[in-house]
Amino acid sequence: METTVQNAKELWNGGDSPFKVSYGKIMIWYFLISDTFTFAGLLISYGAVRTSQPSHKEGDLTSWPDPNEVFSAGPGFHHAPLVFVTFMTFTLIVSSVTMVRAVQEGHYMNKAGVAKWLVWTIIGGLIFVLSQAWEWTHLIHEGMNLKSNPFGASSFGALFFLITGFHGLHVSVGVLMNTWALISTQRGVFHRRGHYEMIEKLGLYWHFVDLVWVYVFLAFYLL
Amino acid sequence: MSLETTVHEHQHVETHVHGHEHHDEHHHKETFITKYIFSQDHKTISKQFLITGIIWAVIGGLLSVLFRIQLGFPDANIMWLKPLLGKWITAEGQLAPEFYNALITMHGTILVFFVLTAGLSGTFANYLIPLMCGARDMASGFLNMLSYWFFFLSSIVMGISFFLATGPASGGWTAYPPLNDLHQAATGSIAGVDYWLVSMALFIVSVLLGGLNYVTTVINMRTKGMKMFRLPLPVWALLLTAVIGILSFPVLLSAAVLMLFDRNLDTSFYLDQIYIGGEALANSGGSPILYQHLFWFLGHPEVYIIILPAMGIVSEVLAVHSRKPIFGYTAMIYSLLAITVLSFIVWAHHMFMTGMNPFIGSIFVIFTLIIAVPSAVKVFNWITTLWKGNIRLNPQMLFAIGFVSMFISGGVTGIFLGNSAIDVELHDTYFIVAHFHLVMGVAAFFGMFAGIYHWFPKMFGRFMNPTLGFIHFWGTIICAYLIFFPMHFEYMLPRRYPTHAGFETFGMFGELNQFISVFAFISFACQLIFVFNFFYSIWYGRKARELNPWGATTLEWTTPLRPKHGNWPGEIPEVHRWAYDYSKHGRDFIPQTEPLSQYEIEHGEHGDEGDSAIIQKEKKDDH
Amino acid sequence: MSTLSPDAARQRVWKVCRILGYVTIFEVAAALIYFYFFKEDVPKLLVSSLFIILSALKAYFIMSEFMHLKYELKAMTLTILTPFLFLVWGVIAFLWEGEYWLSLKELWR
Repeated sequence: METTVQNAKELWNGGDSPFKVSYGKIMIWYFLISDTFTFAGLLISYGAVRTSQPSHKEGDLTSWPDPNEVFSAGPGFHHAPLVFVTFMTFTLIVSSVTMVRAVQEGHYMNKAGVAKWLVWTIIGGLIFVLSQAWEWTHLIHEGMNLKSNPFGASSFGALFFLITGFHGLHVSVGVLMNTWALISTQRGVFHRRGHYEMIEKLGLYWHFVDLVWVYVFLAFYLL
Repeated sequence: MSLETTVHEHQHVETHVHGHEHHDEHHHKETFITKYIFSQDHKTISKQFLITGIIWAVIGGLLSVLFRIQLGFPDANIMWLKPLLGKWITAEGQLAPEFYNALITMHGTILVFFVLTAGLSGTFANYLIPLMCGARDMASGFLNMLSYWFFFLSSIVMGISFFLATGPASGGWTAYPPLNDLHQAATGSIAGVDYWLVSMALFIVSVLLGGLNYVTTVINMRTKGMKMFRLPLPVWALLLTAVIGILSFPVLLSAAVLMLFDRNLDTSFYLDQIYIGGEALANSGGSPILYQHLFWFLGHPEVYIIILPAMGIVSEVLAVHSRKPIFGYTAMIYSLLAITVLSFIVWAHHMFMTGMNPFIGSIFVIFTLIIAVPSAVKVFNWITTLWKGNIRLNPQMLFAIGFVSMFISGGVTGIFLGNSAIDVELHDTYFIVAHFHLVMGVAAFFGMFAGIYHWFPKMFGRFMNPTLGFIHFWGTIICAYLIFFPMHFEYMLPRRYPTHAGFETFGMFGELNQFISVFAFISFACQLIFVFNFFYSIWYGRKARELNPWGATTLEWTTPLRPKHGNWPGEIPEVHRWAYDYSKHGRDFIPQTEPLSQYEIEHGEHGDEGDSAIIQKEKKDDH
Repeated sequence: MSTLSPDAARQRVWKVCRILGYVTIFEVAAALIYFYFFKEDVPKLLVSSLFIILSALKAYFIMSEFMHLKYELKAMTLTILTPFLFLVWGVIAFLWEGEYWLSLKELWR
């Protein structure tokens, strides 16, 4: 134990990475922190606007809507509160898991394994985006838009579409990048390079997207 | 990709990063475009930032000259400006009031963001970090290059907004809603604000790309022996500046996105119960104060992003030119850290007058007063560094000392303003204008000038003309004090009025405003001397013939006179000591690369590690 | 780097997946039970606190296992987690202000 402590301190002496990590990985981490603060800016705005409106009261359309009443439909069913969004959450969690598997296979330079798990991750991401698109279409049909909605306070729609939209944009970009990674993997780009660190970096981004969803889910669907 | 990146990636597999010892300069073919335009070399990129910053500074200064003409001589006929300002000069030869608002808005925006953030951080972080850390370049030359070009794009968008028919943004550099949120609320809000917001979004990307590079380079790419507590202070300051930027600019991005939605998609994030032109708008549910909170969440850390690099530069220049180590090196670092942390929790002291919850206001008062402490520690240390130093009064030293003077002058009024009770009287008056110009505007400029004069020989292989430098310094400092010191007396004069004529209460300030304006014009002229000196010296300045003209200890002076891509032609030097061994053991200075001699103890070390070789041997023999 | 063998690492990942699944089901179940049975009597704050804690738990698992933070050097983990502390005051201040605006609206109604 003592040697590890000693070594950890010595890592800061220059000529080495004190975190024992490549610069690319550090950059992704700190970029994710900055993206966290962007989402945080949006989410605390949501917090401020929501607490400045009366909390949910039955029949009062100036009060904040109850998510169990708003989000109760899915493709082919109604009156099942939160079911569809739970499915979406599971999809994203599982796609995060498949991404970890891809990274793990990358550590053992298993090109086929990486490709396989990337495919599952991309599918998971696509299902999520398409589900999000379905939900948006459904809510817009019900009369929810950026200015008003039939469920309660008018700010609800704007905040919901803005924040889930911003998140969905991140997921879509992630799916595109993962697709690019899959193609590069198949072409042997990383195999020739000698490591699959790019998959790891994309993995960090993908888990970040999952993490943000945990808080978006909390903010709009649970609280 | 370049050879460097491939080497990096292979290094990862071996799980530790070598320095770049095993390859020297690059042998890839460079075209004019890859060498000067889309350069990935940190030195070239820093010069791109510097020159763009200087151009914007001249423009921003010109804007202030224009509005000082209005403020000092409100009745004057300025028809002669019509060729420049076109329809913004009325038929009676007066400045159109909505354009006055545009002038002050753009002056603030340009100077705070384009000059003092991009021009100051962008230049010195890019130039100094790899050189002072002992790295061949930034971690990612490609992202670094993008960082400059995003700044360039952002500049283009902002520049275009000047030529819009309805004019650029005119609702203040802070772009508060509802004035900036509704198209019909002000001339600049019709279209100018949209350009402003897009320009800011691009600018934020630039800051992020740069910041990620700076932080990663300092963490991962210091040369062998360059421990964190051996780094020169500019690197610490620039590192922490980048950290602040990475964390705070994203919140401005959120604020800007919400405003773009409000303006163009009819949302009501910042609007509620609003009347315009007598008619009630349908928007409800939002709050203009929300924007202010989001804006100042960036806005306050932003002022530290501006001042921290200047502080770092000044610490370095003061040490080098008084031939003394910076006093309290460790305390300086901890103060920088304290300022960094505290800067995130004080933002609402810009909002005492918004009608926010008074109890929450008092919490902000407490934190604001606390943040004065580390700043004061730094001031004390700078002054003590000078004490009994062997002072060389060259232009950079004068500007460094001038920085300390400005920072103190502007800083003490901050103590007044940090108290919400007094702020009731002083908010939105010229007292505030005087405060921030002294503590941030002029001080940061002085730091920037000190840095430019000091590192010019390294950057361009020539010296700037010192005589012109002295004229520049004395002209600027005298004018700055004559402009802003009397401004404190205008503590009841409201800001952002095109004219105070016609108000009996403010009638007494007519002559004072004239006085201030005249010295503003003279001050601008002095800056033109600097601009001339800068560009002239790049080609015709006295050639630098020695590697280390200032006798400094830091690594950048160990590169060749005109360092090429890769900085050091052979191996990167190893570091054995901190950066401030001046006047030690009878020697003028000891470079960081020189190993400790037998009898020496490293600065700051106590106990076995720091014992000289002789003492260590004695201790071993005793056992 | 990870000290687990490839098989152990694989098993760990699926285990965490199951944990996250159970936590989500628990959250949703709590939300629905509250909605159907306890909405009238129990203050929302109680369930809300539960949700916040559970979300933090999920965040912990995602960051420590999926993003591998548990296996990185402590120094790096610290540099990543410290900025979140700044958000704490931000969240408190923004929620406080929101409440204040509500009270002002009610005052001037």
